[in-house]
Amino acid sequence: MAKVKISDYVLTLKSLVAESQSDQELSENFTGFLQLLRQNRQLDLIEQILADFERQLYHEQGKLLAVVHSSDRPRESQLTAVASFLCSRFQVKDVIWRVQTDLSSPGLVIEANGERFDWSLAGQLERFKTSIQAA
Amino acid sequence: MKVHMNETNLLIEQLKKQAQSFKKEFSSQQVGTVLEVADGVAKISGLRDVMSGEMVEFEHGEIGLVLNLEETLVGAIVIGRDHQIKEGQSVKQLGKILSIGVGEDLIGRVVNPLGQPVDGLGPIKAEQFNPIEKIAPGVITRQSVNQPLQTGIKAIDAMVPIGRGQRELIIGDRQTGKTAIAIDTILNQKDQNVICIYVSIGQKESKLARLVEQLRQSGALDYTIIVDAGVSEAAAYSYIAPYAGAAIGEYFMEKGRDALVIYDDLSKHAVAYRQISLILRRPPGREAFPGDVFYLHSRLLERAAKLSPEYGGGSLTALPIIETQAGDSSAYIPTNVISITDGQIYLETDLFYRGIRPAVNAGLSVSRVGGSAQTKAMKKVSGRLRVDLAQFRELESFTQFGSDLDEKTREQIERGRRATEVLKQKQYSPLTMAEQVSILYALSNGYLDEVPVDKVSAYQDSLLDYLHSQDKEALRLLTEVKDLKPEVENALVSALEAHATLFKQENS
Ligand SMILES: Nc1ncnc2c1ncn2[C@@H]1O[C@H](COP(=O)(O)OP(=O)(O)O)[C@@H](O)[C@H]1O
Ligand SMILES: [Mg+2]
Repeated sequence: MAKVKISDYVLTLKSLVAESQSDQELSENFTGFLQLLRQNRQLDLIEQILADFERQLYHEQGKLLAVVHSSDRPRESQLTAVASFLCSRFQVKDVIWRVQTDLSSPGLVIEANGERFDWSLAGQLERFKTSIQAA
Repeated sequence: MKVHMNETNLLIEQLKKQAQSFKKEFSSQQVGTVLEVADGVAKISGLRDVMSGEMVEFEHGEIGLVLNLEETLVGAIVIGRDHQIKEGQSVKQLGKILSIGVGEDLIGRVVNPLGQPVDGLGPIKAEQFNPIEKIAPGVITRQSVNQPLQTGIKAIDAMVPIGRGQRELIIGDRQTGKTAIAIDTILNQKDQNVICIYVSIGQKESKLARLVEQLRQSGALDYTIIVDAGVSEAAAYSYIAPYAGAAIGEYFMEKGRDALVIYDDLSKHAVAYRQISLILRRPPGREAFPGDVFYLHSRLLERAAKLSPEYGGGSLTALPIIETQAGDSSAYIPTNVISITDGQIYLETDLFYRGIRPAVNAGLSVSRVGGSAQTKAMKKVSGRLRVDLAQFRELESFTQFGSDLDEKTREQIERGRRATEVLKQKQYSPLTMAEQVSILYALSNGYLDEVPVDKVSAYQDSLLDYLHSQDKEALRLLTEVKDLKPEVENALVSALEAHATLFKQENS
């Protein structure tokens, strides 16, 4: 099926949020937006659209949205270290965290700006393994 | 609403929550019951969340298209035969908008509005399924019209130029040459990389067969698709045909290509819709057309567009046709479509029978966006043409009273007569931009002033012949430069001078 692209929808959603003068209006507009998706049979895209939309909003504020996967809550010092790494790598002032405790191995996996940084124990072991095999 | 940093989180949370509950509400499939069925329309109860344009499936596999929604009732037109559908049977909501199979394979074929072949040339492979109704997410992907879609017809390319992505209405009584203009426009797209879709609504089979044969013989079927909702088919077919044509056009547009869709004609489409509405017993509006007939055509014509480069740069140009009764363009349907389109080509019975063919009324015909899509050369030679012609018409009726004319007026009239002659054009003989510019340049620079009015047509033939065989530089430069730069104009003038001498000798 010829689909309207996610980027189209994100743009539409943006202008719709910008136009809304109140929470009430926003909610009505957003219902219209969901109906549009439904009519185009693309309601399943909504999670992706919202994720992209959120990333863009933060980006416009000079912030980077990063998802942290870990086995339990990461320590503040860990996050500070990762944040300074991300800030210099992606030229941003600030990092907004989304923490997900869904990792089985110790350590952290970070997703930001479409890239993935694997600092988990499992990931490090995996890299170690391939480096031995290559040698 | 200005979103601040600390509010972003809250905003996203709110939207996520709303999306979740919306999804939950609409995820369950429903089953309804047939209350009655007659004339290809079924009334169904028990389908709560179905939407207009969605498909439902009856017990024996027949597909219905939901059109009418009331509090407790849903009306659906049955696509195909309805004789097995009975009161009390169950109806399943399919949760899908009616779709049509599209792909390259359609090119050169005649299909019904469901995309199924009706030309006996075997199956058609669909690359994907496009919903026949699609709602665009806004105007962000659009770009203003800036590239011409040449019809090859002098009167149109010079005075009412059409741009790619534009919607230009062709309007006139029956037998004024509406279809002829559409077909000539298709013929002129040869080697222009434009895919043409001709949607035939309620035409006699013999008429369409002749038309298809004409396209075949001219080699136009290599880039043309015909969607046929014949006069003998159910109203449901006529109703969905233009949307199906748009869906096919969108397929090509979204691939970054240029497509042209012709709806011949939307008057018959509106009649089919009225028929269906009467069966559904919608309250009739003005002239017995249901009130939402405006939306019927606006949502169709909205789909014509020129996409911006980021979206592939494709385009879908629409030429809807409306048939008027006794020249009345103030009737409901014509007024509606005029308000939706970017201009109209107005054809008149009176002109047609006076031998002015194509019977374009220069005063009433306009193109609101096409001018920016004209080549510079064409713009230069056609600039005053419309005004001059309109003025000429006025003066012409004035002279009927036998008043004395001053020299200037007489000149204007003579020029006007020749302009009218120049704009006459036979069917199936489209001209290139360069050919048109050459002739119009000759007209506006006085080369025709000495030619008797009844010899203007012969002059044109002779000039084109000369430009193609004796002095090819002018046409070559015009095609290449597309502007009347000094070198181009010089080449053209020297060819016109040389030809004038020749023509005089031949005709003395
Ligand atoms: N430019 C033209 N020169 C000569 N005959 C024409 C021209 N345009 C149309 N005709 C003829 O006029 C008749 C009516 O044309 P058609 O396009 O079928 O009209 P409509 O679609 O408006 O009913 C046809 O027989 C057609 O061949
Ligand atoms: Mg016709």
